[in-house]
Amino acid sequence: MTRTEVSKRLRRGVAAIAAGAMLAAGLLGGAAALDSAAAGEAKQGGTLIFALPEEPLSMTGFTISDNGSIWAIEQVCDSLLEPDDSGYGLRPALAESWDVSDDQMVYTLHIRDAKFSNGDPVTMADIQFSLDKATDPEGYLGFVFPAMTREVVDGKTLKITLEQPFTPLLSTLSLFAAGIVHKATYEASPEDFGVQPVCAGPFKVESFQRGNKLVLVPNEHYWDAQPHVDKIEMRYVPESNARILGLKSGDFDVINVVPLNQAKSIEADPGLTLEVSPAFRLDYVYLNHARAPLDNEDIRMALNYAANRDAILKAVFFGYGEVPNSYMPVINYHCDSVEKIAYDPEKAKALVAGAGYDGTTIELIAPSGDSATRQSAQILQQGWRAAGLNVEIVEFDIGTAFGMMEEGNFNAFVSYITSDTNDQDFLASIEADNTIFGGFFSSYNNKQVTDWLTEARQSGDPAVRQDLYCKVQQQVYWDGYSVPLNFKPFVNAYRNDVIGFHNSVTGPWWLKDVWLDR
Amino acid sequence: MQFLAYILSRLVQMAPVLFLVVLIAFLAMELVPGDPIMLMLGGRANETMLQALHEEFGLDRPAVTRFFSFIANALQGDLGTSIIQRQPVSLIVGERVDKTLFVIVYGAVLAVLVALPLAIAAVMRHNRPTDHVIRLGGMIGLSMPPFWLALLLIMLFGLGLGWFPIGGYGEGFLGHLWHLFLPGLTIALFLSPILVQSLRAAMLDVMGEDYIEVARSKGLSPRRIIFKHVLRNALIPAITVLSVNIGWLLSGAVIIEYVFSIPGMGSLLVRAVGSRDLPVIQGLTVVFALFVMLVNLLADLSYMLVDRRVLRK
Amino acid sequence: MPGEAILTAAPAALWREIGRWSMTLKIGSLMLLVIVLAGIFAPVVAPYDPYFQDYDKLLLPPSASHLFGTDQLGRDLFSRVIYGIRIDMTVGFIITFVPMIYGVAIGALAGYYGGVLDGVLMRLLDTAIAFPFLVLIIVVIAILGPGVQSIYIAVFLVAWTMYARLARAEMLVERSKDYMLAAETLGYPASRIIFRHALPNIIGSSVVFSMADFVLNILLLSGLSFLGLGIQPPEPEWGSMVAEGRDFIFDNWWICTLPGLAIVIAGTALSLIGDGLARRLGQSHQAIL
Repeated sequence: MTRTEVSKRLRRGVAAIAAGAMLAAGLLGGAAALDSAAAGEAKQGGTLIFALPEEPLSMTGFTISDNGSIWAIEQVCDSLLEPDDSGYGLRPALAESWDVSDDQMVYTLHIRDAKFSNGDPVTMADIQFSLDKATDPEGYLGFVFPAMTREVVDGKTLKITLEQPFTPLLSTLSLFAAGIVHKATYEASPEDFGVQPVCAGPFKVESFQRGNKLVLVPNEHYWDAQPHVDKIEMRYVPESNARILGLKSGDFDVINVVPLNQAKSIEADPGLTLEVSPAFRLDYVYLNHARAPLDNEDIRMALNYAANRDAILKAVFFGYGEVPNSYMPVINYHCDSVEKIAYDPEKAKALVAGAGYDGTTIELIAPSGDSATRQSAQILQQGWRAAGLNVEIVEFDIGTAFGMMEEGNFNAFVSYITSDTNDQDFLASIEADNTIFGGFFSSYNNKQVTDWLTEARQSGDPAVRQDLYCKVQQQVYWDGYSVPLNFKPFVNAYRNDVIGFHNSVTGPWWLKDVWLDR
Repeated sequence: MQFLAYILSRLVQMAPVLFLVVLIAFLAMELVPGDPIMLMLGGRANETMLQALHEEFGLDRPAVTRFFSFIANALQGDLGTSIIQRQPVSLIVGERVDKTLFVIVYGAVLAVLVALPLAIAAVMRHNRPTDHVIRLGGMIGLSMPPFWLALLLIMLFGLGLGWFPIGGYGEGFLGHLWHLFLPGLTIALFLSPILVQSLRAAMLDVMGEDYIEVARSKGLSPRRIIFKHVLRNALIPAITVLSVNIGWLLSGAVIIEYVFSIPGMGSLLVRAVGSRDLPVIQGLTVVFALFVMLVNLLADLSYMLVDRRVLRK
Repeated sequence: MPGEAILTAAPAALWREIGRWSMTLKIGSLMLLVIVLAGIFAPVVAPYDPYFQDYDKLLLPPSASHLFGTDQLGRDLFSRVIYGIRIDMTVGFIITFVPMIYGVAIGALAGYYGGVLDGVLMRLLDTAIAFPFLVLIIVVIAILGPGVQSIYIAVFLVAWTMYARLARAEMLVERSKDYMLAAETLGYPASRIIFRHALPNIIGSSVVFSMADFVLNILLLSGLSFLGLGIQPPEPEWGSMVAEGRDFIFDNWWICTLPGLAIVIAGTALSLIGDGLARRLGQSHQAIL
């Protein structure tokens, strides 16, 4: 698939395409944890040290898409709305309330009195400016937003009029990319803003040493209750051994992306808490149906039958996760009743033998330097070779690997997908509806599935949607769309005296409600 | 004046090399798959965005134009803007250079501290058990992969004894010394066998010279001879070892930085290559090449200085 | 000429030749012989299939049945280390001695002719040294695909430089010697003068260096595999074994420690030989680098 083809197949306006996928994790959703009862007795003060495997690159929300930056911006820049504690709903942020017209075309948002971290009030001009940037079709996440006109009714009211109904509008407005920035500061120097942003979130940047650490302190002008901690140090520690060791020795209070072979030892440590929380994530092997021999469904099913997922769950994921029964992550219309493809080497052998396989090498791409995917690849290779397939593992640096995938120049690629939003339709359509994204690098094309997805998208009846998504899941999964490996959860760890930390289901976490019991 | 002319001619020779290095880096990045904008957007791209961003970073212009405008800008000290971080390349690279340099210099200093006494001991006990043990130790040391050594040091000092941090960069000079001790030691343990061997060989050579014989016949103690005459002349090979290995050290720094989570040039390079951040790759290539060439030049200059002194004698 | 003496030693004279070897050369050669034999007869020496993953035997510590324990995929580490000899020693040998051939030739030519040729070759050499190797290897892999052929090409592009430097320096000294001038006066072709007359005299330092280079190249190969840019899994390459053990250093020390030890032993054998060769070739004070 050439670049132009990818672009042509991307149709904006069809249920906004937030193909989060591989590079960035979730963009939206999540809960700020913490029940209000605990907050009542929260202790104030202290410095929270958080060790991250990815470093923030820039603090300007509408110019980034990497996890490190998203994690940091979520603490500093408030949007008009934010996800609620459950992660599935929304609650007010800079907009204190909103009305939606009956035809779902007009949204009226009532803006609260709030101040930026420099003391300036949040004005309609700032909001308009920020949303102009975020929704700019040429901006980084512009395509997530539907076509709309924004109108300032008065100093407190913003009216958004859509060209066609778009249910996820409020969700998109809660994205980090739609964070409200101080217009004058940004315009004075966009480059400086990336290091010293002025926003209206619970924290502000005290100092930012790229490649080392980002220090946040409470924003004394924050519109809501002040955060509990005095200071947050977000340290960039890419080496997972160093993160673990720092946590155990007390140098760090929280670490995320815990290496799974270490998870048990953290669980066993009485001073530490391991958080395993569900994620909109599926680890799977991307298959390219446009290329022999994977254009043959029998071969794709043979790959599935010969994939020893129990071994992968045990040896690679150390039991964290679940063997999948779907081609996409577990989101709101997941269907439990779809039967899992069992590990059946004999059946795989028979399928290969019957498919007239000519011995063409199947190259299995694994990004270099990633030991988990490398191990999954080796387990898969052993099973696939036993089934009679000629499989070679090839490791490419991540840039080359994605480049090859975008060009359609691949057979199979061990990777994963995450969802940016909590609606089934986003990923279902992106992955399986050929008219939307060409089957997300797979070239999967099934007219029946496309019809079901279209119907589900237009239906307002949850029961009808559930039924349709079950049919889609059954069909696509059993077509050998991909080789799903694991519903991998988020695994974080923190010291027991860190209270109120919680990972949202789409990826980010919020630190404003976290306090230290020391 | 002759000296200045020599420096000048060496600097002139560096220009075509630098040009070649930049050209090769540029061509190489043209040949490999992966587009920085596509990678950055991660499957979210559409045609207008791609086009706009390509224009913003000048990626829509022909490669030849880009190459020469890069050269023209670089000559004025402007290395361009990072596509991913949207900051000037000189700033991004500049922030990293000192960290890499710190680790390397630290490692080199530790290496000298380790190697010098060992080399002297080996020479003073030439062909005796001490000498043999030191030589054998050097051979074993040379065979240890730096990344493996790093992991062993982490296991021993980081996990087992808990004496030193196993990652990060620390605050202030003392903080750097403290945090970078294990990476520095890794480099030192890689370098010192080579250093011991060349110092030992050079000192043995000098020991055979006539004037040392004279000194010895005058009744000077071996200790005095070594410290007064031999050591000074053995500095050249030490400098050579460092200069010959500088490319190795800079490349090896990638692994050291990777294992110890040091935000240096190596880790930046890995990421820049992964995201095809072309301006950063080019900037780093230029800095890397300049660094290697300057160290080699300094080494050559120091031979000249030492040689003169030797000649005057 | 000692170099020729070793190269042309007839089998009958072999024992006499070995008699002249220093202890380091003897021990090093013996170690290398054992390593090479273990590699050749790996199927006999190794108790298990180095590729077979047994998911009921994950991460077992060293024991009588698994000398080096098992790795994270339940493979017998000792068998993998033994099979690793084939990869590391073969690739190490090729990336050391192939560049030595043309590196010495380039250096000899540059040193003999001097002038413009020398200037051009030396600038090429500077370029090869000054180019970051990591960028080079990633680019070659991106173009040719990962695997041993990409390693060969990337290393071949740069590894000749040290040999060229050594040979050039030696040639500059050799060039003014009487026998060279005599050969020139006799009107011998330059190729004969360089490769027949001068070569045996200038190659000594390169031969000695090649042993250290061999060691460094094994380190390089394993370093590339460590970064995921070298030999592809599931091949049992020593460096990739260390890399795979990296995540397990807290609880399963043997996975990264023992394959690393194999590298150290192989490297020490080569260094001992290098030391012995230096003595045998009359370059006893020759520095390794």
